[in-house]
Amino acid sequence: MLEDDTPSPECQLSRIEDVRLVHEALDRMPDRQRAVIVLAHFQELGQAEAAAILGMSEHAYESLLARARRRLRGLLAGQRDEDGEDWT
Amino acid sequence: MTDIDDIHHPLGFRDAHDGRRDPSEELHPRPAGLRDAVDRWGPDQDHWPDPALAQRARAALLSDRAFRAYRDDALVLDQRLEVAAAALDSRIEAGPLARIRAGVMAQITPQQPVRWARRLAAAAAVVLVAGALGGASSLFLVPPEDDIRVASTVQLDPLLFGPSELGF
Repeated sequence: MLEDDTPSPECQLSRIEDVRLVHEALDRMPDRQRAVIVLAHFQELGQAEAAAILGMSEHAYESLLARARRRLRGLLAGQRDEDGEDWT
Repeated sequence: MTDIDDIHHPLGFRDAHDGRRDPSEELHPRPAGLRDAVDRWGPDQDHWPDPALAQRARAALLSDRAFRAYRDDALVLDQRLEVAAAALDSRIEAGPLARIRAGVMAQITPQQPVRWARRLAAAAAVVLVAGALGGASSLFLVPPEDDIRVASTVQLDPLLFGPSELGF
């Protein structure tokens, strides 16, 4: 008997909604913080490459990435509180 | 903020033994704590560049509930970003492909099957019309007078005229 690996429509809908929330949160971030998240998570660049693109040292990049992740988590948590949903 | 988070002071890089600042650490600042390390290097301690700090984080995960929750939040954020990136990738891949496919399909006209009976009938009609036109032209078109050439042939009997007469 073959199992169907396709996610259920509810699951797909929830995923689409989650992606929308992530994009909204990214839109609300400062430019450099958004850039660092995009380079690290969407472009999957290494630390040295991303730092070179942004024209900063690797350690400054690390600090910026840490701040960006904290802010993004805060924004998403704020959305979660607004929506009354639990994403964890 | 737990005790574990205060292991590295955010503003100073003091040596644990004599309290002096290590100048090499100013060039390569360490995270201000385990939470900062999670934010800098990600939630997976196996990828942290500082093995000692990674070991401390593993211990903290077992003993510190607040740090574990913080790390889990970071893990969830990474997963959500991964899903968002995958969705973006699939949208980028699917968009142009669909447009190209639609464009190609719009330009391709479906090929008609060959109908031999219709082709033979058309060839027969062409032959018939050509024959009819040829016949009509021979009936109605009179050639000019100059173009009429009448040839007469004389056959001489060699028994009557002999071989010497054959040459004329």
